[in-house]
This record gives sequence, C-alpha cells and structure tokens, in this order.
Amino acid sequence: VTEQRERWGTRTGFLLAAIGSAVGLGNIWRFPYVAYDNGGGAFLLPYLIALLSAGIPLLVLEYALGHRYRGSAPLTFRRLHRRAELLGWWQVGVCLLIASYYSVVIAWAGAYTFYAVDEAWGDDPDAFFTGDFLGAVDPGQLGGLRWPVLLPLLLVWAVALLVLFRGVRRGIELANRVMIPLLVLSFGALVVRALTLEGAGTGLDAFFTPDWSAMGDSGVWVAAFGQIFFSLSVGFAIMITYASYLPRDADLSGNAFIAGFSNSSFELLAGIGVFAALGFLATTSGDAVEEVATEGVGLAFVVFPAVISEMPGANAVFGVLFFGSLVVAGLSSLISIVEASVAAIDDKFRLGRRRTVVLVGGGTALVSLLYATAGGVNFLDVVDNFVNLFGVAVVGLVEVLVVAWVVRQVRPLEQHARVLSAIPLRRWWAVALTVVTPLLLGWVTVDNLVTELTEPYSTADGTYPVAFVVGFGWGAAALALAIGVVLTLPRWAAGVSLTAPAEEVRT
Amino acid sequence: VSTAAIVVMVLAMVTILGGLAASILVAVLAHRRTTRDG
Repeated sequence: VTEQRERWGTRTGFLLAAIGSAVGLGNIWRFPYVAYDNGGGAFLLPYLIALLSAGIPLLVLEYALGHRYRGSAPLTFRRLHRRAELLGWWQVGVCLLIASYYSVVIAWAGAYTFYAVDEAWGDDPDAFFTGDFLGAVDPGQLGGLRWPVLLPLLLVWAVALLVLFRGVRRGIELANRVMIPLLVLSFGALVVRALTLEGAGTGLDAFFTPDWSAMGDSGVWVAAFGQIFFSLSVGFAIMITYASYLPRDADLSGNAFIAGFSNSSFELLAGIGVFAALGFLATTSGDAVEEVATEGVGLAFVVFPAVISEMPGANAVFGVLFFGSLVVAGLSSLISIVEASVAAIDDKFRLGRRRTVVLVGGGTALVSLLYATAGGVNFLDVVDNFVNLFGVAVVGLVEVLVVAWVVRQVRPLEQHARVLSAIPLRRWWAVALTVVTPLLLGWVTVDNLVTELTEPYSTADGTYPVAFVVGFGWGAAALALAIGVVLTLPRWAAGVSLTAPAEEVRT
Repeated sequence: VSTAAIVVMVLAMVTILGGLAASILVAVLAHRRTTRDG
C-alpha cells in the first residue's frame, strides 16, 4: 500500500519554502556582525569554504534522507534504523523550544513596525525597549503579561497556524510564494536607501575591509562554520520534513545549491544594508562604526530605531521596511519550525493535520506566553543561547555521526541522490559528511562548551545568577532531549509503516 | 570606500551571486534535458 503524503505543487514552491525557512532573523541581525567581528571581508573566505564543505553537503544529506524515507524527522530516522528514532524526536524537541520564543521576537518586530510610523521610541530607544515596551524585570522574575507583546504575538500565531492548517501546497507553499518575493523587494529597497545615506561608505569600509591575519585565528573558522550551520536550518528536522514532500524525480543537489546560495546572497545583502545604515549612524553621531556596531536584539530594537530617527527623510518608510522585513523573514522560518513538529506528531499518532496543528501549534503558543511577560526577555535570551549551542549544534553533530559512522548510510544515500541530482555529488560529498562536517561541528561544539564553562553565559553587566543560567539555559537544552525521549516511547499508530519505502529511483 | 573593501565586495558578490546563478542554470539545463529525453 502506498502511503499518501502531501506534495509540493511545484519545484519553485519547495525552493521558496526552503529559502524562507533558511532566511530568518539571523540573516539580518547575526551574519553582518559575525562577519565584521571575525576579519571583515576576510571572513567571507572561511564562510564560503564552510558553505561548500559543510552547509550544502548537509542540506543534500537532509534532502536525501527526507526524500528517500518519506517522513518527518522521527519517521525518517525510525525507517533509517530501529534505534535512531530518538534522534528525530530530539530534533522536534529543539523545534518546539525554538518556536516558543522565536514567535515572540517576531511579535516584537510586528509591534515595532507600527512604532516606526511615529518613532514611538523617542530620543532613547534603549530605555523605550527595555522599559516602556518590555517592562523588563530582574532575571528569574516573571512579572505580568505585556499587552504590547501579547497582542502581536496572538496575531503571529494566528497567521502561522492558519498557514499550517491549510497544508503543504495551499498553506506553506502559497504563503512563501507571497512572503519571499515581498521580503526580497522590501529588504532590497531598504538596502538601496541605506546605500544613499551619508556615511554609508564608512560602514561598508568597516564591513568589507579584510583583516587577513584573522585567517590564522581558529575562532574565526569556528564562527564561519557556526554561522553556516545555524543559518541553513539544518540539524533540526525542518529540511528532512520539507524534502519528504518532494516528488519522486526531484533534483536534490540542484535544490541544495540553489537554497544554500540564496541564503548566502541574502546574508550578503543584509551585511551591505546593515553596515551602510551603521555607517550613517556613526557619521551623524560622530562615533566610530565599532562603537555602534552590534548584533541581535540590540541591533534591531535599539540601534536601528536610532538610525531611523536620524534619517533625513522618509523615516517611517525605512522603519516599516526594516521591521516588516524582520516579521516576514521570521514568520516564514517559524512556519517551517512548527511544521517540522506538526508533521512528526501527525506521522506518529495519525491525528490528522488540523487536529495536530491545533494541538502542537496551540500548545507551543501557550508556552510562548512565558516570553510575553515582563521577565520574558531574560528567559528568551538564556534559552535561545543554550538551545542553539547545545541543542541545534549537538543534535546536528549527532545526526551526522549516526548517519555517517553508526548506521553507515552515506553511500546508499549518495546512490539515491546521485541519480536525481543535476550537480554531480561524487567523492567530495561523502568526504564532506564523513570527515569535514563531524570534525568541524565537533570543534564548534567543544569550543562552545569550553567558552560556556570558563565564562558562564550572562549579560554584558553580568546580571544573570548562576542558578538562572543553569536552570533555564542548561535546563532548556536538557528539556529538548527529554521531550525527545518522552515522544519516542509511545507506539506508532496502527498502519504506519516503519520500514523504508521501496526505492523509487533506479540506481 | 577603500580599494581593498571594494575589491572584496565585488569578489563576494561575484562568487555568491555567481554561485546562485550557476546553480539555477545547471538545474534548468538538467531539467530540460530530462524533459527532452523523457
């Protein structure tokens, strides 16, 4: 009996969804600063090497896994090997934790899209963000729910769940067909405007001037491989799930190269736009670029409002383009993160898509309320750091080790992918997966672990108590694995085939 | 903008956007060949 699985309507639809998943908040607020902080223009060399030697090979691997075994991550790993199911559920645990706080950051950007119209942050964006908007309290305290966060959060979940409710083709594919062109157009317009601002050249100088001595610094290579890994949405169930909806004759390597280079193209565009804007802010404020350059929440909600306020004209348009781009980039990624969990639960328990969306999406939305409280920003900061470093990176490393060295399935997957691939896989792919990626991801993980143990994670002024970091940081990383264990235990619903589907591709 | 920064910016754009264009081209040509050969 052939299992009926949803399919993408078109190849472009799949590609836009895969690109929409990869292009997220990190492309806009993480990559520019990581590049600047790790050798400027020189960083692009290890970055490209990481893309070709680890990022794209991992993408091809996950496409091949999802396409060959036709399932969400847990079903795919269960079909790969009887004892590998936990790996898939661990990835789902990571997805659920990320979705719960990622949605809140999108809600912040949504609120700021409106604030940008009249520059509601006034003369002090920092005080407005932490005080008026978040009402931030001490780490570990909850405080009450913040209405300015809660209302856009409900909207974010309503849109995401509506898209997922409609299924793969009429929901996810259709949404990305609208969102990705909209994102490229709006962010492209923002970059053009940023490049015409006074001082933009100063920012580009800071971003692109190469510091070749950085090439000898191992930390720069760790940063490059880390950036590629976190940016491509690999290692946490999404690409396996998306690839399971591909048609029989899909071009796996061609899709991976297009998605990988599209993601990097957007990162480069973001670097140009962000640093042109930072150059403008530095010029108008009389500071050096290094004094205004930052990343993450500080860049988006403190520095960019300052840039918008300093603009010589059309401030609101620039602000709406920036925060609107964050919303769209974040939403397309959030949809993919929740879909990876919905598909997994539906595969195992056969509840039906709509019931699963309500259960999984609704449950995650409820958990996200924690981050919509006055103390939410502290929980979010710590959970994000640990779930990324000791959730996504570790489970990604384990995935590569299991596939390449424990169940030794790289060769069969290569044979499966090779016939379907426009770009030949040859020996480089197997070497990249069995040697380069495990070594480099292992190096990234050990480096993160050493850093965390020598300098425990905290804010710049060191205000996180140790118990808070251990409880919510390490606790969150452990919770992802615990969720995985709990979801591995129940039996699969009757009728779910746990054996690998017949090879549909002639090798 | 310094010459070094301009050179790196152009090289980065050529490599990354060129990589994207080449990937799309190879994929499209392969698709056409498959369609033609049935």
